[in-house]
Amino acid sequence: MTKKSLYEGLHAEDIADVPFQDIIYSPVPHLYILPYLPGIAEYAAIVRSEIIKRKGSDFIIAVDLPHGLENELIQAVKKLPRPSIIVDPLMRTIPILPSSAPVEAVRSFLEYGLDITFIDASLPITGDLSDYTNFVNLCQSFGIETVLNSPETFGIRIADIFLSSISQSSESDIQEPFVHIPETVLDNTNNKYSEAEGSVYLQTRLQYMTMQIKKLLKNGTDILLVCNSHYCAGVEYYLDKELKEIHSDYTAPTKTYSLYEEDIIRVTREVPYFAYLYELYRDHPIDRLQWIQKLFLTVDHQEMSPLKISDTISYSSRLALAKGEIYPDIQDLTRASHMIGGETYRDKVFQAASRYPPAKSLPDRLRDLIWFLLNRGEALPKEIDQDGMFFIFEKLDSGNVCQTYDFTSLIPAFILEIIFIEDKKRKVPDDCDFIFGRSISRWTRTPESRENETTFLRYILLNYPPDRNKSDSFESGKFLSGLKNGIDIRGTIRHWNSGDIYVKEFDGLESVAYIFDYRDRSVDKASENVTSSSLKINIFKRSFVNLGCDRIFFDRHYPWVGVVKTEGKHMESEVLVAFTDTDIVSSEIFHDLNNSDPLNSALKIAVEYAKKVIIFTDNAWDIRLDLSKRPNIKIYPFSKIPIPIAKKMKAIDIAFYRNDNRRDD
Amino acid sequence: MTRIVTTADSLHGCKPSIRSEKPLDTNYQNGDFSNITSSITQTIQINGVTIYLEEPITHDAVWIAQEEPFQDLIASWMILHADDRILSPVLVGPPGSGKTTLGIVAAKELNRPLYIMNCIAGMTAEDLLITPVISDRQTVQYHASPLVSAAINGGIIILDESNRMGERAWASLASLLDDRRYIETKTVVKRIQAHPEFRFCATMNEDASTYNLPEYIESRLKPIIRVPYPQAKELEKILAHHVPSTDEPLRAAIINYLHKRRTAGHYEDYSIRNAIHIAVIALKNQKIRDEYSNPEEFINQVAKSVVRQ
Repeated sequence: MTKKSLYEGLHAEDIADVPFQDIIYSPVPHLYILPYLPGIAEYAAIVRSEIIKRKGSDFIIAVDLPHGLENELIQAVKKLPRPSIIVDPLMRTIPILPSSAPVEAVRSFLEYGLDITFIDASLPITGDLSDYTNFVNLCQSFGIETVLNSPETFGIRIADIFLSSISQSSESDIQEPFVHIPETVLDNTNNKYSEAEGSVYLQTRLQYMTMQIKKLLKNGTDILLVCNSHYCAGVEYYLDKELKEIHSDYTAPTKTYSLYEEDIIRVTREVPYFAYLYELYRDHPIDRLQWIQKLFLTVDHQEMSPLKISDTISYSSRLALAKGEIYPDIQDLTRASHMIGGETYRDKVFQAASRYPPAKSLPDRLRDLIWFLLNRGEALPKEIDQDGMFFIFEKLDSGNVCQTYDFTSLIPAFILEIIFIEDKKRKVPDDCDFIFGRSISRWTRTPESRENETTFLRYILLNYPPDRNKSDSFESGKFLSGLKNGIDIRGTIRHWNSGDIYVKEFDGLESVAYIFDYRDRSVDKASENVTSSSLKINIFKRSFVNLGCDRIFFDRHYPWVGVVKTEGKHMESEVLVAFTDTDIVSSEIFHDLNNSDPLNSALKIAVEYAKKVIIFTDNAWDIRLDLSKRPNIKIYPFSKIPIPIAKKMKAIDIAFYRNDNRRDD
Repeated sequence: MTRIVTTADSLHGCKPSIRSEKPLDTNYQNGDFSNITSSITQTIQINGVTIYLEEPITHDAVWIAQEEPFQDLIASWMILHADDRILSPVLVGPPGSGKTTLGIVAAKELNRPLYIMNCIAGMTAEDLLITPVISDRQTVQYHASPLVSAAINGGIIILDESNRMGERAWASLASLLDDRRYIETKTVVKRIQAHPEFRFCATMNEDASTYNLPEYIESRLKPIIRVPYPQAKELEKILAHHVPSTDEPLRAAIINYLHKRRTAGHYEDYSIRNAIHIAVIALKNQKIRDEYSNPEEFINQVAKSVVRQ
């Protein structure tokens, strides 16, 4: 971010005064260019209003969508608001979402029965035009998949094809800031196009588009060209140039896939929830500020006062302005909610902003299947086809396994990565107050919190009691209290002199570790480059890091440790492990917990320190240990613990933090 | 004398300007900034009492690489319209991560007068606000703290290491940090209204005492901006800027050394401060560098005087 853009962004009111209608311009008679930025709802709205305005007059809509894919696109658009994505063998994708300007053009065409023409080339165009012709001929003769599978055989450099494809998306689309500033679009169109700067692929595409426009202009009808703002200058450049004829009578085969709600954020820069609101209020003027307010009102978080919510909304806008953008994107919204409301609130805002109700959610069983397969990396199939979705699994250089949709392999950061590398055991230096960036905080809990703990443990020990040691060995011990459960009179002896009663003292109870996994059934936590206290979310290439407030919790009274989320004096349990063996010192084992993989690290500790492990979890698929060889480990669904009891340890409240060195709590 | 003078809307979107102007003695009235909007005052009169203000700090610093916290801080000081609430951010991070530098650079970027106050454990509300002192003429003079001076002059105050401060001191700031934006004192004046362009920022180390704040103050200190240690590439850039005489292998060796310390559990050793200190000491010991087979060994040796082993 340069200083210039930082300050440019501060003139918000000036920018907002420029109406979107002013972006339409006419470089030559009968040609009206409507530049757009992909995915942004405001541009879809201006396309719709312009078409409605011109309804009844003689004009043609020209859209920079691939020629030859008319049927596929129209079929996909008809399914709206259900979102989908059209993919070709070169992984070029067209997301079909209501907030997309060219999609809106097609949709309005369907609704009003206007003339429309697709002017972009549908095939990958490499090298010069003769290369392109050669490529088309080869595809016609052998099929595009055969050609792409062994391009060298056909004298094609595969790097050219893929570079072409990348240059199409990375330069213009992905790096584009999330702007709602019409002036920026006009700046794009005002930039002089230079052939030297554009790739050969882009040059050919622009020439092809211009050729189609020229053909239309010959009819003398008005043309409304809905065109990506980055291509407008190029089209204008070629308008007065002599162009060679390019034939495009071969169309690359495509597949249309349904888009799941989780994936929408990966194929558009619009906030998915706003794409939905655009769908709901399509014929109303866009008021993005109201949308933002509506988004925050849908988030239910009791700890957020109206003032705090107002601060979050305001701060997200300021974050956007500091970047030179006029409205916040999903990154600004989540960042602001994290910094004002904390981690839990951030997660809720992110979930709300990612919502697009007409889309289906990724089925849980599919998630489970994926994770089941991923956790057994050796037996991993190359690909699976499930619920109409294809997955490819591949080994990364690091030895980890990642999976991607087959059609989004060029879109980075899709889904999940599993870290197979074992964490090295962490040792705490004696003279160090810090442990890997996490501080050791000492606190005193509220009396209510202590009482809850007692009730919770009593229930667990009563219902899932540790077994008595199988060994029959025992010692005789002095019977001191009548409060014990009772004694077997046959097993007692009385001291001849003192008269004291001695009873059998068995070796004791089997040591058991109980693991309580409070986390929801989810797989959201893994992402690339996850470090112990950070969550990195990668949306396209715009990545941001939010330091988490995950903390390791341990109790000096009772041997249990766990990963908790903290917010001020409130802690939310994630994974806790409790031991029946009171000789275990929790302060000596807590450093083995890993908050990026709490369940497995807790299990590791449990197995190390207890003979038997009982796990209450809804995330059993997350366990990496081979349980078939571990009869001493039992897994129960978390619902086995009654909700009122489970709630007792879901939250831990702190009376106050302490700065003294007494570690008695 | 050149003084930083800003227009009233410098934090409302317009770039501030610098011009030369004499300091003014202002007959100050609560909330009336008509006389002092565009100047930095050295003394003010409140209820007939003269209060001496602190001079702003002129400290040259640069912020390299980490853009996110910088943007976050700038954003939290902005207001979009007159009714917008002014936020009081808190910079949280490990020691030596550059929290104070970030505040200084952000103030410089916005061209605002900068005041820094180092907080200590025994600090009282008076220390934080106005302190009576005996002058040479054996009269009582009232000296405003950097915080009050910033509030009056519309400057930016950085409360450094603010988590060391006790609850009583924090309590005196409650009214300043919410919508009231005034300071209440028990000494000479009851109330001092803060300048509309006054901005506040606290820095805190990420240790146990970070959260040892009264809840009503914690709720006022928003947003919480985290300033983590820089990535290796960023640290390399920072080193190259601050200690330009170092060569690339030496810088790489320093970063490698600190990275190893971090992975061995000494997380705090991986700080910008340590990196610069090691680099400076390494330069001073250049003569013995040839005695070592590679830069790593050399750094291992010289770092012993900086990093606790």
